Amino acid sequence: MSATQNTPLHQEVITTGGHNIVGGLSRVYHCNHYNAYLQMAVLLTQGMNNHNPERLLTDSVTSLVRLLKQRGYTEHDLLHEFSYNGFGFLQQLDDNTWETPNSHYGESLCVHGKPQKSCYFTSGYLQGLLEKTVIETECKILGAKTDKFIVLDEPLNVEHYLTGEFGLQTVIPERFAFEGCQTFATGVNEEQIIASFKTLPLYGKYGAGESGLIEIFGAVLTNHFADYYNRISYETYFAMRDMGILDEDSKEMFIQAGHICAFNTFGRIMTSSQWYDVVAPQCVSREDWLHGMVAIINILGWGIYRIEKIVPETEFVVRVYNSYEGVGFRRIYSRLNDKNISFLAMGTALGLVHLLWKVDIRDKPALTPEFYVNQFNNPNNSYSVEQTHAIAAGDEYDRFIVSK
Amino acid sequence: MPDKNIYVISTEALFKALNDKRKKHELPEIENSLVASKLGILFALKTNGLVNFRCEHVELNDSQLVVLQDILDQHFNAEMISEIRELISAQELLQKGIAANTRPSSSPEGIGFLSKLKGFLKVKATVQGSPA
Repeated sequence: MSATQNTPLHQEVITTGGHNIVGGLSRVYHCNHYNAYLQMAVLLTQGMNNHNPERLLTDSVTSLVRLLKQRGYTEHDLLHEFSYNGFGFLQQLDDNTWETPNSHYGESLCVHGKPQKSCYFTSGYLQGLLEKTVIETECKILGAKTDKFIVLDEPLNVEHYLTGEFGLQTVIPERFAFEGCQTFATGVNEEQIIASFKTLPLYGKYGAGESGLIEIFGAVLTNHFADYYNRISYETYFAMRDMGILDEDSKEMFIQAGHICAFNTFGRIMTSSQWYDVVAPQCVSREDWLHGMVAIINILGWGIYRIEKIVPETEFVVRVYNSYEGVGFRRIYSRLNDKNISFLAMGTALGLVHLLWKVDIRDKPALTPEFYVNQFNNPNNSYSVEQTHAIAAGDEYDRFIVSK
Repeated sequence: MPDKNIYVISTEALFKALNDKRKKHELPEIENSLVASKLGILFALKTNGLVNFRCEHVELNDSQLVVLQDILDQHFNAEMISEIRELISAQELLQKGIAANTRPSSSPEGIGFLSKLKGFLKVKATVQGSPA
């Protein structure tokens, strides 16, 4: 456990138990591909009775911004942090109009459907900042030059959802040093990798002329609110369940989001110059690449990943202590019996295995949508994933088995 | 009654037609399993009924075909009216009940899938107007 202060932010970044906490809220790195896919999955429920996904996508961040304000954030802090976390550059044009000349959500979020206004997150962020209802009026996705937002003179009615008390686990076993862990012979030095990747500029720059985006590894990242993801994912999943949708279908949508995340983020990291400078020289086997990527995952704020078992091309078992999905679930909802519930981690564990044992990322394939459909996600030669332990269900950690 | 008609559609052919259409418009392909999940979810939400697109074939009635066309347009950015028309083979077109058999093809009650989509299926007259 350590506290680090490697940021130009006014707020300290506290790294503890695998979480990166700013202003009391856990932050997690995710790429534009994941954000786009997840938002699309949430918006599948558009038009459903008593469920309003647009409001969900908007209001879920409003509540979090309010918490930051309660913890001393000023307007300047919030605007600065918007850019620092990679959401773009947010500026006021007049009393009732704001815009983002560059924004994460306004630029590359159209996935399968017809293009539509996409900056629900930015609207919600502004709502929290201004304590008024905000709607997006123009969006770059639809060809506008900037995303524009107007402030309505309407009171906000936003639910505070982080109501549960659930602390992070403080005693986490060291790598390879827990009961049931296989004996590994790997030259991959996790501490060295973490130290090296932590020096990368994983933040956006704030100010006129700056994009406020985090562009690295050929992807666009955000350092997002973990509980924003949790709220929008689980509310949508439960709404689908209540509507009688097959679990198989609804879970696939969210697990697929993680799988796409692994393909795009992990895949791009594993073909990056930084990877080849630091990690690849430590790797002899494909399984070493699994160890190397898990080291990097451990700086993303997703919790602490500990590999338990690897049988080459057959089985991969990993535990996640303080998984942000499990912890967030317990802070928002009651304990659950269903253990297959950490969708992002399920999808990324599966995707990590597919990157090494299904396709071979060491060959540096072009990570195109066509490659994803025809090779990476092709049902032939695919693995399956099962979650055997879940913090959401009261277990000490999340645990995933990826196997043939 | 418009929903007495049941149309059998091969899911594999449907997904292929969808991706062909998307590729034609320079949109990326979507893998079949994901299309199946997404269609299943959207169908349930929009019709309050379950249709399993993971099966080899699905059987859809008039209203459901309208929903399918709308979903493909809105959620997959693919206008598929003519493609779906081609997928529906006359041999697989079944007729349930007898009410439709006696209704003239020009009936003002013709508010089913065929009329909603303005001549969507060329065999309309045969199906709705001519008793076997």
